[in-house]
Amino acid sequence: MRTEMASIHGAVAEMGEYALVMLTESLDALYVNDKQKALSVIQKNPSLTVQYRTLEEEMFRFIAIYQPVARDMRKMVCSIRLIYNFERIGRMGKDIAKMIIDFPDVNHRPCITSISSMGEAVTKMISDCVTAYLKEESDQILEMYKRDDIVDSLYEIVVEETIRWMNQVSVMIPVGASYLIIARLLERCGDQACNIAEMVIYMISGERPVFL
Amino acid sequence: MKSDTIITTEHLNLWYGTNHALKDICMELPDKKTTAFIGPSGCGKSTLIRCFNRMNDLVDPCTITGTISYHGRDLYGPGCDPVAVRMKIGMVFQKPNPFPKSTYENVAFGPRIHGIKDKNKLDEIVKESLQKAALWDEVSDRLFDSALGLSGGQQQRLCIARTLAVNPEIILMDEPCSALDPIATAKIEDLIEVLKRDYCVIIVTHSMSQASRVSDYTAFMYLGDLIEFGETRQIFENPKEELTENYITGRFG
Repeated sequence: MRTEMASIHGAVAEMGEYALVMLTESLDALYVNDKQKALSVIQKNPSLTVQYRTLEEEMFRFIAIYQPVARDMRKMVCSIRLIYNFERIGRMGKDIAKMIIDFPDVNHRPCITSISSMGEAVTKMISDCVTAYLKEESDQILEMYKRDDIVDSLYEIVVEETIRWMNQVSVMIPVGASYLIIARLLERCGDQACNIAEMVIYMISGERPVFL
Repeated sequence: MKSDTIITTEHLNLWYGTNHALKDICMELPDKKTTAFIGPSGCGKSTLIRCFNRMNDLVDPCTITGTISYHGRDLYGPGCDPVAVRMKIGMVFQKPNPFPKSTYENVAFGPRIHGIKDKNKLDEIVKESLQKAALWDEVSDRLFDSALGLSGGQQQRLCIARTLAVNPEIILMDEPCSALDPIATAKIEDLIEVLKRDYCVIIVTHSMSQASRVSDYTAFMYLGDLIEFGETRQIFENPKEELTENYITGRFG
């Protein structure tokens, strides 16, 4: 049982890393309008789905056979919730990449600064969550909600800047609309990081934090 | 934390000869709830519940100190009749033990001993007890057949009916499902869920899943000590004591 649990634990963390790579690489592709890189992110999605389904089955089987309690139960429940969160994050990376494929080859650098700050903050949040889950240490994620507040503020800035830019350069309106969607996806990734942090804290401590 | 208390133990200690089997047990057991006792073999759970209905009086040598109060009265005080105690605090054992008599006579035996002779009254008690034990529908057409012809699960429910027939307030169950198949076990567990509406049910079990399924409160014992007592949900989701967590997660035991 312990060996199986350790195996599942490691595999869930790997799935988290994989989803994070999809998001990070989609943002890297966005900053330089790299359609090849965006395509490679899209091609990662089937593997993400396989990981999700395989892990879900393994965890259902584990629960049925071992009926874990206490910290083992919390770890399994947390892990099941996390693969749902990771799958969403990876898919959002894929969705960003798909939009990049359709970008025209024009300069859209004015919007990049704010959105890159947002992307950096979100990817760091998710990375810290994965590390906290893997090491079963919650110190770095206790105040995840404060970091999410910053992401929400950056989102407002991106929206404001993008709308201003679209007003000034009307030919860039389609790109600007994509930026608004990408910013929204990043904002939701920040929310996912908060959900992950809550579950990991519960897994470790048995207490449910209140993230406002 | 819990509803009305029906049994209280204060600094309860028990020795079998020189073996210190129960160590300074202090607890309050709630009425009309199910409390599960869990712990590794030899931890004292069966010894403790046998204190509640004075079954340990039959063990020699056995020394008890401290107090056990039932509705505020000392169970071991002078003038407390152990037979009367066992009527109010009944017990069901691991192996079903019907008397070698008919089903009817098994249930009627206790009330007869306690002075009920009217046949109509006995019929009423037998039917009611078998209904409460969820057995009536299965035996109503063969009440006067030997109880030994019943299945294991039916025999155990008959033992519960026998306990109920003398109108107890507390039902002690010492691993009542250990000798039963999963379907019979499920029926007993469903019955416990119903019984606790009217009785205090105390169950000793080796099955963590059973304890988490049927009980409202759980007590974990180890080497004669009461390590932790609390709501079952809290014990199995986030136990306070590391020893409790190590036991229920199978790290030892």
